[in-house]
Amino acid sequence: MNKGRSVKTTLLNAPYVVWSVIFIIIPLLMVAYYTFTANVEYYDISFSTADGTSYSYEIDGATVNNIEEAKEKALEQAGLSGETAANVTFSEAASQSRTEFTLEYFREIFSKDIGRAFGRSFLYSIIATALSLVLAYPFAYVLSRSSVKSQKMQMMLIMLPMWMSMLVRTYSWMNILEKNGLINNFLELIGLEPVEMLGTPAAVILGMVYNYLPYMILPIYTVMSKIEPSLHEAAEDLGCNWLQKFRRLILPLSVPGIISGVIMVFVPSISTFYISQKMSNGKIVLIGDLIEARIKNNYADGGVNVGAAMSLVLMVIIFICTIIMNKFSDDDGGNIAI
Amino acid sequence: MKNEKKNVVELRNITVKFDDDVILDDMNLSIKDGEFVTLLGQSGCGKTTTLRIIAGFVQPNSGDVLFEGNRINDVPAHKRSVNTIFQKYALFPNYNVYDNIAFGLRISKVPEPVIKERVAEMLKLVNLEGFEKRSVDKLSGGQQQRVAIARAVINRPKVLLLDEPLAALDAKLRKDMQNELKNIQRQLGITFVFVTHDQEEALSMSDTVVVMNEGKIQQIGSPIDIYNEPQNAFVADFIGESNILDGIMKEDFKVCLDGYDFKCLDSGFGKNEPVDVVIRPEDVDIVPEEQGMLTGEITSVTFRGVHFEIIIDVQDFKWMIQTTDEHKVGEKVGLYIEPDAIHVMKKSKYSGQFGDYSSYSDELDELSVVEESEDE
Amino acid sequence: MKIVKRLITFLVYAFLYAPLIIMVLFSFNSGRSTMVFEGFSLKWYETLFSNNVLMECLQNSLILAVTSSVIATILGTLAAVGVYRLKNKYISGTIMTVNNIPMMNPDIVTGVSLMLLFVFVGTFLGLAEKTNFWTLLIAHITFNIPYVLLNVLPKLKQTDKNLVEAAMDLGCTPNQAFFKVVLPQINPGIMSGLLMAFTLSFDDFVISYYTSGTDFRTLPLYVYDIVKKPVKPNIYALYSIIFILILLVLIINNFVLNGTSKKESSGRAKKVVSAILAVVILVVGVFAFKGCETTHSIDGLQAEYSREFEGTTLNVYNWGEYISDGSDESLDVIAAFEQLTGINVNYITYESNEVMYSKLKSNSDSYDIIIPSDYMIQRLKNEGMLQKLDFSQISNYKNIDEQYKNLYFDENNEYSVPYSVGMVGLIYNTTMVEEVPTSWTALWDERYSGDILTFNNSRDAFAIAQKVLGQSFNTENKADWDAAAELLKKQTPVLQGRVMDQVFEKMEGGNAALAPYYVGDFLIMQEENEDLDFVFPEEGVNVFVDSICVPSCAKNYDAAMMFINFMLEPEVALANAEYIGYASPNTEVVNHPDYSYKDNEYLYPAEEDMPNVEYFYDLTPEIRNYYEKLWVEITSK
Repeated sequence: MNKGRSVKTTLLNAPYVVWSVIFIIIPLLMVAYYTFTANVEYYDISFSTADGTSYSYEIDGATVNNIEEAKEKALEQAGLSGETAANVTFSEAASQSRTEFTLEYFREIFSKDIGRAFGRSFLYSIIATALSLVLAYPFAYVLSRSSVKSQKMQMMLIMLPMWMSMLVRTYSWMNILEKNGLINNFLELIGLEPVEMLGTPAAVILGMVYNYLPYMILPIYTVMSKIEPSLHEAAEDLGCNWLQKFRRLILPLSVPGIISGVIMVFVPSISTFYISQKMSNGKIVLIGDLIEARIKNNYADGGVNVGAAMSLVLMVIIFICTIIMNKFSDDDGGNIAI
Repeated sequence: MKNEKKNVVELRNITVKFDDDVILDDMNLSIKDGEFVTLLGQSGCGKTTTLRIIAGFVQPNSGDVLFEGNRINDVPAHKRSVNTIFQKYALFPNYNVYDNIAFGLRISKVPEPVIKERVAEMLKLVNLEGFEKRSVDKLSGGQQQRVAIARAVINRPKVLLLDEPLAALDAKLRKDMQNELKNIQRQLGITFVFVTHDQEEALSMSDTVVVMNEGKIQQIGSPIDIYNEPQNAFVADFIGESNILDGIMKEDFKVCLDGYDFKCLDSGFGKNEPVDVVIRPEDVDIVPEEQGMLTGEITSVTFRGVHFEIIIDVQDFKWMIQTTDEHKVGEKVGLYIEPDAIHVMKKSKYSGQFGDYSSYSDELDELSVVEESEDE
Repeated sequence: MKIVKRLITFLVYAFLYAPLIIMVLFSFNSGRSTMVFEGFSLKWYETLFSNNVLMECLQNSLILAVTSSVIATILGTLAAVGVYRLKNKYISGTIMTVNNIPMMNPDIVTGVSLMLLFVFVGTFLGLAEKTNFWTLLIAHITFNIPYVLLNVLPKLKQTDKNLVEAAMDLGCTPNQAFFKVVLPQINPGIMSGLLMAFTLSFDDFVISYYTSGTDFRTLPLYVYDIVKKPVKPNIYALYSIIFILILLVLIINNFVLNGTSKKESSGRAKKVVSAILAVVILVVGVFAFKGCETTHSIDGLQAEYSREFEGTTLNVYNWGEYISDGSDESLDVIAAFEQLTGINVNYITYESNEVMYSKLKSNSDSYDIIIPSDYMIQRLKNEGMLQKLDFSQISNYKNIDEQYKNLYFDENNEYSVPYSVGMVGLIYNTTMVEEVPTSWTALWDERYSGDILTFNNSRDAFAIAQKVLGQSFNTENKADWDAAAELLKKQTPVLQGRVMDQVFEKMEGGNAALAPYYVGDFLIMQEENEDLDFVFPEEGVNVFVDSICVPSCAKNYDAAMMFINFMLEPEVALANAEYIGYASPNTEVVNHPDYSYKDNEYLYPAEEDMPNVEYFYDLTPEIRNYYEKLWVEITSK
């Protein structure tokens, strides 16, 4: 209505809108761009023989190491050898590159191996999410019914581990689970056989649950603490037993919290690469590990494109999962906030 | 009114639309200096919007707002010499009582000693001496209300706008505050523009009542005029209880209802013109069947303390009658109506919508009150 | 019922705190192990503040977390107010959806996408060096804003709309109304947004990993990077301090809150807590700064250098942990060079040849000195990315052993000066093997199933299988690679794991029996665990030479020559050789009386014990891609 006001509103929004376009939207478009384009390096080789015949070849840069090899390859392709080859004059020999549209990288990620890694990531993160829920839910319930003073203190205690580096906490778990680690040392002390823990899927899942459990507790607790004590009393007054009260009152009211918790545990779990690498001794490769490895190991020759393609698919999977999860509740309450 | 006072606020041809909803439709209103004006209507009638136009929070789509004769459409809210008391008080939770009251003076850079003096004065006015350091969260509803009043009037506004300030208070406290507000207005002599949906509040406090509905002013007048001479069925129904019947104006001073010709005091209608006739429940006497101008059967009797509320079916029209005599359901009785109890109105778009008690019930009435209190 | 409740609470806390307690406990360990408690000691705390790199990283993390969270809070609060005031539901809905993207997106995707943007922009604009702080800052602000927005917006919505109107009604301009009335209302939201942003930023690893370069390393990146010199108790000590500090703040917070909330609003208490928090951060920051200021003597260095390049900045790009840095009273090589020549060295590190290569390609005008490995030198030379060196300015080149001159990647000795030499071999725990292994096939031995480790690095892992099969490392025949891959797949069932830096802990702690690794690192492990021994398997091993080169884009050629010459100074080379633990190609080092690895049988095997060695050659991109795909197949089985 008021022009001055709307101009001011625009000014307030402008910095963030510009920021999110440049640093959120465009990077995602870059991911798509790298997924579907290849930087093709090639050598343009033109030469003529002593008798005046001229040849022109384009040699794929991926198949040769340097321009000399490219020249050789061009001669080979021209069917020239020996003396004839020695007498050619190169008129042009240059390394070139162009960007091409390609589905190669996208197709590559649908290979059996990468598919398996996707499947495994999916499975492990679902198990980790379910376990977190099983642990967090009763805990959040107990927490929400304790005294206000205790709730405050406990909230802090739940968040405190999140201040510690994820890397350090994972290292610490490795010390506990290692073959000669604390648990096995203890087992040995009381005369039991040591158990292999590190390197198993269970260890990876444990790492996920451990690192992301607070993200499950907090939203569920937030929602539960909003359930008025009088509601509990009303339910009891109406003759609900514990189970009925849970099914008809607490569970439905805590659904929004469960959903944000599930999303907040599932997303980092499915995409982790550090936890799986360390807790599995590098034996269990999740999709995050593959992205990390391809980008690190052969960045310049296609690794980054494959990494981008995997990121793109991972992102789409997560968005679909999130949308499905959000269908269960139209309220996005229980957002995490200190 | 002693001598003719100047208009302090004038609204001319004001129209306000939100998206495509017309909130105020070509509204004209003049408010005189020192007046206690009440805007009365149901939620959504445009009364609060009218108030916000005067305060400067809403810009009309068309029309002029005049303040002491000057057009102030383009003057922003913070430069208008009007102050508002908000429905939920809008006290600043980050300041204590003293700082809340001193807020306006501090903004206009009044020296601190002067502020101190004036805040003390205000606290005295609203009976909150000793509460200076109190946090506003820790005050009762009535006390918050007083702080809100003090905070607004300390700026000595020409006009004080009150947006349903009593709605959040309980019945007893509301009565007290009504009196107190009236006293403050008298003491300070400033113009009050008061918005309410409570007709009783409007009638008891105001010099002038403006009845609004659907973005239009239905009637402007003194409380007595509004009650006794409603201009249409809407006003008649909204203010107090009324039986509104279809009648035919046979000739001047003679109106026919349900086949009976009543004498009345109204004139100036066309011959045999269909009209709406308002008869207040307390103006109808119940007499034995044979003495009645109309006869009917009692269908319900409700005891209301001071009086009984009796519903009588007369030729399928349910009359409401208030009387101190007790009657029984099923009794056949006659109705007797004095000529001065009959008020004849021209037909309007509200004809036929109100004034029949056939579906009357207490419960419905209460429900509608709840709806109204959810403000627009 | 009560018991069940107690049990659940106990279980969750035990689970959450067990690793933290272990961390604190082992920070007091007198040994280097993080698994066997050898005795109480404060030595890790003592060394903490003298560890320049660690302290610098802590300082970096604090700087980054503070700046990014403050900027994100300002931008996020503005945006929240903007979104709140927006009338158009579609626009505000769109903004909120975009806002949710960084939160819903996995960190790795956010990191990768930002990296792609920075690389792309960097390539096109040719951005100058030292942009790493800025890319990190941008990335951190980007993932922080959404949390600020989501903390502030609900507070705005809770704020009574009438408050603003009341303020304006009382004479406030809209701006005054915002600062006097709205801001105090949403302040708790802003504060918790700020705190959250700070926490997320301080702890972020994944996004930083992709968006940082190498000249601005944060603490989590440092922790991730400790490959060559495991200093975990050190890290534990640092995080124990942080842990205790935060715990302290929380306890005080709770105590103060409970003490005052009865009388006054909790506002003052919160201020007290914030103040304490600020002080804590400041103290840690000051400590970090002090740590950085420690100077090191250059006594014993007899070299004289001209100061003609005083004030110029030399960009040195080297492997992480690959130069003597002054820790444990060693020579701080960089500091000494700066002191002698007046040249400022901008020292930056990389974790692999490939990372260095892609940086060099995308950011071409930044580096004066690089130290790549053999095959990478070959690639860089082939692509014309190296400059010939002016050996007339490198008088100390005479110190280089003849056998390291004229190697395959630099046949005419024009481009490189050898810096460090290493070999791969098989480390084994004498108490866990039945006989001394002599062949790489021990890594397939079912008797040691579950106790075998191998490289978590494609080319090194392939190399072992290739030697078992009698192939060359550098075969360009895809069938050879297929065969090696088949063999590696057969190894999977007996493996305990594929590891890189974890090998230290595994072997030192006796958690595994066999592991291939670099000889220099074996020596470090052996210091911790005397049961370990080392063998060069008979099939042959990989040898590598890392050499100093000057990329073609170098701006300070003569200063670079001076730096190379300095690196060959006997004292400097000795310090580096001692620090790195690999063999030195410098005869002055090998013959130096103080050299602790002098005549070490593993670093400098006698002629007759010399294993069959082969270098890695640069392979064509096609082959590189091919074996990377095979590697995915092997590891994701």
